[in-house]
Order: sequence, then C-alpha cells, then structure tokens
Amino acid sequence: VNELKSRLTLADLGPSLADEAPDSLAVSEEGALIQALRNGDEAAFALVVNRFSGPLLRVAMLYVPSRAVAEEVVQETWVGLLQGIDRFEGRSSLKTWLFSILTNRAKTRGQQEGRQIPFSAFSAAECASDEPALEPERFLPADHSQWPDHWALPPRSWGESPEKRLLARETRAYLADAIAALPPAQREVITLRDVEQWTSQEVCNALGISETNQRVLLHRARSRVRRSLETYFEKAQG
Amino acid sequence: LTCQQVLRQLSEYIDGELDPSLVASLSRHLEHCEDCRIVVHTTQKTIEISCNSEPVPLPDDVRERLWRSVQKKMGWAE
Repeated sequence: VNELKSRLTLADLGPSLADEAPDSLAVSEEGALIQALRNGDEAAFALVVNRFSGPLLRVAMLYVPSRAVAEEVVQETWVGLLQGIDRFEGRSSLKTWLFSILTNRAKTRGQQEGRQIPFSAFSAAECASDEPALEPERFLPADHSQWPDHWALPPRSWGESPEKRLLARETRAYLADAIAALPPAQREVITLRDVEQWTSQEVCNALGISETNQRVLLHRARSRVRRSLETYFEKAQG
Repeated sequence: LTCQQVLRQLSEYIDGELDPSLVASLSRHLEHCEDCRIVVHTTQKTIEISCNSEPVPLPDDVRERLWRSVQKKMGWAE
C-alpha cells in the first residue's frame, strides 16, 4: 500500500483504464488480483475502483438518504479495502467481501442519518403487494367455459424485429428508462442481476434479502420491462 | 398448467432455477401454447438487451472527489 500511495495518481482512474486494464494487468484471475492489491499494485487498485465504484454507489444509495452521503460511504469502502486486504482470507469472493464492507458502513451511516427503513423492509413491502406478471384483463376469467385463465389479449411476437434493432442504442436507452421507472427494490435487483450479471446469491448478500424475495422482485421487474419493450416495438412496427 | 400459472414461473424457468418436475409441466404447456412461447422468447430478449446495457460510468467529478477523499483518509500526499 505504501508503494501504491506514492505512485497512483488520479489519472490512473481515468475512464480509459476500464477498457485497457484487464489485458495489460493480466489479473483476470481473482487470486492474482488480490495478490496485486496486497503488493500495492496501483493499476490493480485502479481496476477495481473503476469496475466497482458505480455498483457500490448504487447500492449505497439504498441505505442512505442522499447521493453525497453515498459517495462518502463508497470512499470509506475503498479505504476499508486498502486497510483490510492483508487480512482478507478469500473465504468469499473479492466482490462479496467488498460489498459486505459497503453494506456494513452504509447501514451504520443510514442509521446515523436517520433513515429508518432499510432496503430489506421496503423490498419486503414490494414483495407483499399482489402484482400480476401481466394485466389481469389480458386473460379470460377462471370460470371461462372453454379456456379458463388463458389469453384474451395475446402477446405480439418481436420476431419481425431484426437482431440489430434489438440491440440498437435507442432500444437500450428505452430499456434503461424502463428500469429507472421501476419501484426501487425491483430496480435494484434487475440492475444487479441482469445488467451487472451478478448471481442471485451475490444479490441476496449485497441487499440483505431472502432468495424468495429476490426471485419475486426479479420476476416482477423483468415482466414490467418486457411489457415496456413490447409497447415500444409495437409503436415501432406501427 | 394455465397460462397465468406458466407466467408466474417464467423467470425461474429461464434462469434454470425451477424444480425439474415443474420444468416438465411447463415445457409441455409451451409445446402447444404459442402465446406463452412468445412471452418466454421476448423475456429472454429483454434479458439479452439488459446484459448488453451500456456500463454506467462514474461521473468524472464523483471519481475525482472519491479519489481525493481516499488520499486524504489514507494520509497520502497529493
């Protein structure tokens, strides 16, 4: 760390590093990355800062009342990483450990700042609500003589939409807006699972929610975002 | 299974986290229900687009504040 502090500059944390660092560092293996951090490798620290600061900030904001406080929590987390890396035994992944540092500090700060409702509480409230995957009017009633509970207003295929259009910048921007409009707990779970591609266990650990609630929130979030995209493609097809 | 019951299990089905006995029932339903197949397909596409999201960059001012703070707290000279 002493070597790191003397050599690492703000420029090392520039945006371009995120693209260049993995190959140039050859630290794709987590063990090598941890060893590099212990050795005071500035590029390794810059790599993890670039890779995780955005998600850390997003999770911190779940626990504290303002972005400014969330930024302070992220800063404290990086200090915690530097101070604790020599004691890190590798029983969990580096990411899990990092987020456990963050959530511990964020919970404490959240209590100090007077935020009474932790993420686990409002996620539980969202899960308790009775939200169908699709609008009930899209289905025939349960007592329908021929097709009980089957489709009344069936979905439209996106089959006509070429692959290029599905992954176009405009489509991704629309999806980002759809995710931003979700209820908070759904938004966080789908962001971590599908955008950041975390495992369900990592999400449960970071957010302090049960596996069941994580599944419910993810399912609802995907259903809402899929419906938004369905509307988007219908408009696009005229 | 009805269509609504299928939709309730959809996310776990796509993620491969569903109980094998339910997978069999759901697969049988999907064989003959084109509408539910469309929802499966479009949900998979939704996840695919999510996976291809632009990474959210940390704003420069945030990065700078973060770095200066880490330097200060660690007692590093600027």
